[in-house]
Amino acid sequence: MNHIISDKFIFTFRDRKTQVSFKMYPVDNRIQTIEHDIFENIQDIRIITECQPEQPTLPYPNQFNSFETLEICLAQVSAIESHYGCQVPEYARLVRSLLLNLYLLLNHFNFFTSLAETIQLPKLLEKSLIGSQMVQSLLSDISRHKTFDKLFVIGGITADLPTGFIENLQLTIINFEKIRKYIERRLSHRSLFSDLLENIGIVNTEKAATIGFSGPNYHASSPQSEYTPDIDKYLPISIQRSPVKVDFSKGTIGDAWHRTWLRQLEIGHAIDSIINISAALLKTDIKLVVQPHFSDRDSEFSASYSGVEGIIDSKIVKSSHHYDFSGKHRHSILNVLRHLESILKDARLSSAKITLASLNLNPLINHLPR
Amino acid sequence: MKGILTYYLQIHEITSSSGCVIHLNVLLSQIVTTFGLLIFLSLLISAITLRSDIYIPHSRQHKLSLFKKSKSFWRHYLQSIPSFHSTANNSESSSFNIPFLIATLINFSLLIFFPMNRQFTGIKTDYSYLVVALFILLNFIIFLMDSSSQKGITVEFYRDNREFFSTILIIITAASSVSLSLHTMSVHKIIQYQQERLFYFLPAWGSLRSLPLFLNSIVFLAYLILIIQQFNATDRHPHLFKSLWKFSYLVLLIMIYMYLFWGAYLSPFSSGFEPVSTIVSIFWLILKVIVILLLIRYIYRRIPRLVEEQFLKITYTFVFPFQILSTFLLILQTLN
Repeated sequence: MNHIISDKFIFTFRDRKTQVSFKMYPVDNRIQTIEHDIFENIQDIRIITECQPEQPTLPYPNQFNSFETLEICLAQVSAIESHYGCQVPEYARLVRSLLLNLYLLLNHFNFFTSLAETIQLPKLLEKSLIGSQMVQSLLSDISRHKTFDKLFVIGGITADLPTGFIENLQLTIINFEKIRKYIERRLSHRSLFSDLLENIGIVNTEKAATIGFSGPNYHASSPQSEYTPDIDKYLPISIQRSPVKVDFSKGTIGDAWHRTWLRQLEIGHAIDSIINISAALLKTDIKLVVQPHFSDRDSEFSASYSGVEGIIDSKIVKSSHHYDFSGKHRHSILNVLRHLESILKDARLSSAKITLASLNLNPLINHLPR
Repeated sequence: MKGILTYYLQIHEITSSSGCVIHLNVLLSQIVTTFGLLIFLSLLISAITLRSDIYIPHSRQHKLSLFKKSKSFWRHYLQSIPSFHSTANNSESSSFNIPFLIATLINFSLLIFFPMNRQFTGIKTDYSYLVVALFILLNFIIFLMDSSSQKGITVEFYRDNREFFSTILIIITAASSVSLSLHTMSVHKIIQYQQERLFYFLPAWGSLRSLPLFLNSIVFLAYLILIIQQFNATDRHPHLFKSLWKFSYLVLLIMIYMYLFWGAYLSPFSSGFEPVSTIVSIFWLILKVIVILLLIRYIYRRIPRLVEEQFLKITYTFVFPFQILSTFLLILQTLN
């Protein structure tokens, strides 16, 4: 098709450097087709887990920021553990959940960074950048001693949290709450920011299921008063679970406002979880790892891990001669990209950018070559 | 150099309405003051115009104390300055661009129409406001040239031009309301009118003279912020000459805003007819500019960019009709 008029949207990722561009072709201000060349460059995220020295390794560590590997490393280790039925001590589970909740904060603050970048709201950009930076400084306390691909091993963790980590966390968490309250105010009051998001990019429940939405995007599309976040199922039994309550609503269910609002609620929920977990950590006996035992099962299997931003599909292969696993992982955001045209078709040209930013394309950054 | 100055003086003597002879030292000190002020203004305005990265300290404890806030604030201003040498590495961004350069020079040289105080009166012509307003409109051509350099016709080309043109239109209409109500096209005379007093105690600044003018001053400020948003939306790595042009354009707009609506160098406490020293009047001018810039920064940080539909709807169903109505009312008011 030889189009004359087109509009270009450049999405800036959470590092504020990497960009992908979308080309949209409208008819009467309504989008008809959308083009992008992301699938030409997509790579699977590969991780190798060696069982003898008991440490997973990334084949191309330079490609990844150390914080971005946290979720993927955990996904691979959990997949192997559930496949072979390995045991994990309580303390290790608590530490893993704590770090996963911190990763959720990082991911959601990065979501707000990208959103603020798209709609040009400097105040929100600054607040979310501060939040993201604070989580990163907390996580760097751990990764300075041991990177995440070496911290998570089959059957537990290799190192305890550094001294003073919990105290630092408790001091910092007040600031996360302040940022969350700012976002909550902006979204719940009648403001220009809230008006920009309402009734835009509506994805109803059936469509969300067919497209393959998961995580906060999926929950935003379903009319429910409360739900349990996906990462809560990895919590140890000793921790009290509480659902996320969706008690305030604006616009239409499944719009950009709901996707933003749910992420704000999840930040609050993660803060509560972190407080609970850090209290439980102080009471639990320190036992880091249980030596894994691999029963005779398939050496090739696929698994799915419910991460902070939806399901991560993994294909894991165990080599026959050596005790190592190599895994290939894909974020569910690729499903969203595949069905982008059905989401954005007949949408207003001006609202397409906000819709794309509200879907959170940030996990895609790990799939792109650097 | 001497020839140019003599020529300038000749023009000045011809166009000077008061008929007094301007001395060379007064002229030179005016030029020095103007450019000193210009550099100062560019520093401040650069913080808003250039898309400087927000400074976030890499530490765990972000206690936003007043000290840290002010530190980050100054860091924010200072960071925008080295962007000149960072863009210079990119050969494309620092390539020589004659239209932008000419437009920048014209915009800066137009500042000679604005008096700095009662001694440094600038060029006193009867149509100085008209010339400035015309060149503010003509800057649209420069903006058009920039967007037409893209390959093919994109929606962005139409949209940005439409938004930018609508914004200038509103700004010019708002500014013209002052000139209409005072029956003069001269910036110098507009300042002279603002030296009066309203009810013996209020300063008779443009925005305080009547309600339509006050509302117009708010509209001007709001659309100034919209222009800054549009400038910041275009490029992540700004072209050197383009960012210079943006500086000059915003300096011109802010200066015209100060002179038409807020009495420029006039003190709110003393009547304009009393003798005031040069330093005091420049102090008032700088103070007013800083207050307006801080206000712009405060609002700019807190509002997102409107989508095109919202912008056009607000502009053409509310703001523009209001301006036409207020202009009509002003004409009726000043007929008597």
